[in-house]
Amino acid sequence: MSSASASSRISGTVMSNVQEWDLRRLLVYTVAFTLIIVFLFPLFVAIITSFKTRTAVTQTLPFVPIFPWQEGFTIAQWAEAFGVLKNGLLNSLLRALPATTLTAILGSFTAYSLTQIKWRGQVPILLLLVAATFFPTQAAIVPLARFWSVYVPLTDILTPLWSLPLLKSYHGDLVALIITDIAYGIPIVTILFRGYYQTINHELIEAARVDGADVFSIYRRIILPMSIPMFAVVFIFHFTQVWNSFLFPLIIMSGSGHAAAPATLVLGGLGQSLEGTNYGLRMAGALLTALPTVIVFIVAGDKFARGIGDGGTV
Amino acid sequence: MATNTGTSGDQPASERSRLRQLFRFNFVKSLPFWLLPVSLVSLFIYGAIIWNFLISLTDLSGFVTASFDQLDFEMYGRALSDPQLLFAAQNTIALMIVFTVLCLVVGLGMAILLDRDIRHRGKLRTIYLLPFSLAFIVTGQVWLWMYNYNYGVVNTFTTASGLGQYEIIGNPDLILAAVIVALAWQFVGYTMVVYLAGLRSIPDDQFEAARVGGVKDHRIYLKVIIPQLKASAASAAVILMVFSLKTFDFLFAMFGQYRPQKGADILATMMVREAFQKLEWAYGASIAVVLFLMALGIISPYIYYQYKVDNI
Amino acid sequence: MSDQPDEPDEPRRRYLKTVATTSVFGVAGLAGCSGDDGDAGGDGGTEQNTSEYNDTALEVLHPWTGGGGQNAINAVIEGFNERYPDIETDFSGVGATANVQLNQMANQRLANQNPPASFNAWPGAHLTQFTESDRQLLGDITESVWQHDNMEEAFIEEAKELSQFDGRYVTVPIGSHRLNNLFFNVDIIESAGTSPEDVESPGDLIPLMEEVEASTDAVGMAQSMANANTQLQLWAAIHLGMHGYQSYMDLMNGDGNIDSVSESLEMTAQYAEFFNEDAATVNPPSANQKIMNGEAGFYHQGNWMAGGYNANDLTYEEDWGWIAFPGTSNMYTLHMDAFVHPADNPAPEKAIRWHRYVGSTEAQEKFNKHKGAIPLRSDASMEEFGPFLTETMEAFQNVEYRPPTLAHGLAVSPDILVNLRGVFSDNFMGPYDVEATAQGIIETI
Repeated sequence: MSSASASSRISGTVMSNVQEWDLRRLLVYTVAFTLIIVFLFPLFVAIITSFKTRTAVTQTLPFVPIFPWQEGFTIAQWAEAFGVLKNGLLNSLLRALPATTLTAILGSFTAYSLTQIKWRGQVPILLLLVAATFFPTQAAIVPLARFWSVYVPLTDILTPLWSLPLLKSYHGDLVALIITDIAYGIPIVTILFRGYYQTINHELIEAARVDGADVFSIYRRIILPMSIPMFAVVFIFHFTQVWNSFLFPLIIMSGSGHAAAPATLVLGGLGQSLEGTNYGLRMAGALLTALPTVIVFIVAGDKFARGIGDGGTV
Repeated sequence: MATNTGTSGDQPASERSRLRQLFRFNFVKSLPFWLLPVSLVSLFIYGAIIWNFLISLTDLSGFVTASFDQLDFEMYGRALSDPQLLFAAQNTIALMIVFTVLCLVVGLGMAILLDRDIRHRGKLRTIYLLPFSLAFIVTGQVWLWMYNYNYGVVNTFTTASGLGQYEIIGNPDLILAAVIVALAWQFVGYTMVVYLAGLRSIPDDQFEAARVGGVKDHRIYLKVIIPQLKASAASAAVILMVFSLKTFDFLFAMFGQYRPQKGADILATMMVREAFQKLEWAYGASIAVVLFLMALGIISPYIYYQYKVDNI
Repeated sequence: MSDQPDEPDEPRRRYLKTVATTSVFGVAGLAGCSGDDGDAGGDGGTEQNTSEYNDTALEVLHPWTGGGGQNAINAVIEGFNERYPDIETDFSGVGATANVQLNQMANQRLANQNPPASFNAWPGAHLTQFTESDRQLLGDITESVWQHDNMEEAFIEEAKELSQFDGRYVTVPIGSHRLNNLFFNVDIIESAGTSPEDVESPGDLIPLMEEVEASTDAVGMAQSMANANTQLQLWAAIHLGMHGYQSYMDLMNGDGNIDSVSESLEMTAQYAEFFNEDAATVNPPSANQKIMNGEAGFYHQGNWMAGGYNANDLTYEEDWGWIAFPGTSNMYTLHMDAFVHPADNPAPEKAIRWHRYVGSTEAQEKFNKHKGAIPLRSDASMEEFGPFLTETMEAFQNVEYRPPTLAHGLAVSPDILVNLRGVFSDNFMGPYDVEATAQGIIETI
């Protein structure tokens, strides 16, 4: 901004107001455009690298694309990355969908009970939840790993389930991961819903109460239908968080060799072999892992922005 | 389920006892909504943090089960005399301060840019925010490639512009700065969005009034708008600082191992390494407690302030 | 939160009820072994032991996720599935340099009392972390595997020594690599006019590297420093070359001499002047690529790097060659991979079959010819192994000393190894602080 003000100070004395306005406008658009490049360039480089053969990666400039009709173009890296990551992507989906849905429902319940029902102890509970959004996960992972493996080994506890079709014993750790994700998602999701419920018109609820509606039917008939847009915001925001998370699967599943490991965990060892580091393969794997969240973001970026905007101001 | 006729109170009881009755009754009715979620949070977040503290008082390491017979602060003594921990703590604080300030300043500039009368504002915001939607495990890989010595973009440019070629990742003096730049790339968009939410709540007429009064734009921002963004800046700062305390994924992805290159080790990576690689559970837990206290030191004033101004 | 160390084991214990004998496994195994039904089922053909197996699939963790290692383990898996078609298997590859990820995953699984049926690890000192723990972590497979079908007699002495602790076998080695190799690019060496065969000590290599840098575009030596382990390994090789077997072994046993350590570190720092500029970010295979591309003259690594040359269709002695690391031509620095049998095994009978198979001539041949390693059974046939591996085998049999590798876990316990890596990581990854590193090494071991 200092350069903008400096240039306007000079121009103010030399040029007319119209010219100053145009100059400023030019400057604003130049800055906006430069920022686009800054934010997209690393991703652009990753994309073009993922389509280069190993030789082409070392022989061309990193930001010069190779087109399908040129030598050095390949989709083999994407095919290989998909082969390695496909189970991980499926596991990520199996993890993120239930975790996000249940977190959203439970968060909405909690926020409703904190805003539309008045009871003693509300404020301490709310403070508990607000504070919990900030704690570093490191403060809990040693007990969490022990809890799920030694004290509540779901793989053993849920043994009857594993004889069902499609379910395997390694899904036990996935369930543990989902429950952990839900517990760690509830605080922020509750706060997002709470902010929204505070803006709801009280007269409507008061009227329903006078009509004899109980807390459950008020939630079902009034709050839930009104919450649909907020559910979308929360779903998109939290899905991204769960999909991207890495530390919980790392400590609950102990490493990328786990059959239920999500894509973020599997990505770690990709592109390293006896033949050297394959950057094209690494980029293809990274982009493939990012693809679902990027699609969600492109389709519903405004909702995502709203999620963090509201979440950021508690 | 009983209806609320009982609470609407036709008995001429005193106002206070009626209110107490109402609260008690509502408490029971509200239970089904919050009991399970709050129990989950209590168990997995608060319970785990307390348990972690207890583990940090033992001398648990290796493959055995914890014994809670003898609890002491031995691990904290060990932490204080561990040069690696002091080194990691310095790095953590340097990362926290530089990263937060960088994001706050650049994010503010971007928010003001988008607050102006500019076309495709929504699209620009989406693009600036895009990096924030990516997993750190993904961006770590991407930046590792950007910083590559032979073929990376950064070195291609520095070589072309005559600045020479740098082994960025391998240089203890450059590595932390390189990590900060990459993390800021991911987080300035986020900071911008928090500011934008704050800017939205400032009425337009303040701007108009100042403008009519002949005040230059940049002075309006400096004197009128930015002071009103203090709350947004504070909440963004808290979140950025807390994030920088716990960032682990990015460094793990970048170095593919538990020990980052010399110069980039921070408390968050050291904690995971001590506990999960070296199986020094108690020592790892004590570093986790240090991290937790640092986070608490950052968020307590913030939550207290929010509570005072009735935002909570 | 229980103080009872045994209580959390309960769910796992349950598995054992389905097993005919329990005494060989678990805590009871400490007292000695009376189970003898391990001999059920002979060698060759398919076995039918369904009644003894529990429902848990045979889960095996290994580090080979790419290249020759992957082909090798796949060949073994295929052979095992053919021989035991009724055993459901679950093989997981956990790949990374120097087993970092696999070791850590196996450790966590054991710490969490959730062991796999078998996992790959380095035998020898690496396993002391398990055998010396207060909780019994590894199962005794002396009778069930080693004494089955005369396996013990067929194995070479070093393999047997490294596989047993207090007279109990806990693991079966699958193959051995030689670690003291110095690879070179033949073209580079020839255009520099040097002959590495004449090099007799680590110091002698320096003029050759100078010559390589003076007369070609290549750097003198390729090195990977993405992980401190490779620096540690290079220093260990130089120390062996400069001060000999006895000095090395004394050092490993905690009787190190700081002056000799400083000398070998000094020499390592001199070598570092010939490293590739990007050493800090390349992993060992990428450093090897510099030999293949002609970007570097020499490279010290274990003989598994030959797999990279084969994969790129490079010919031994035409494109690439090797000598024993200067000063160590009468030694074979011993590296070994082995499959370990955890106690409280989730699938004990299946794991026994697996470990027997790992120790069979069939598995040893299948694995090692793909892996570029040598079998540990003296009765294995070397017919299909090619000239490079046959030479390695001959060297193994004829050398004077077989020092255990430091950087790959055979010589010192894992906590010492992790701390040594820390010493190197802090002081010897450039700039090179000889004094602090020497001090750190002596204090750590």
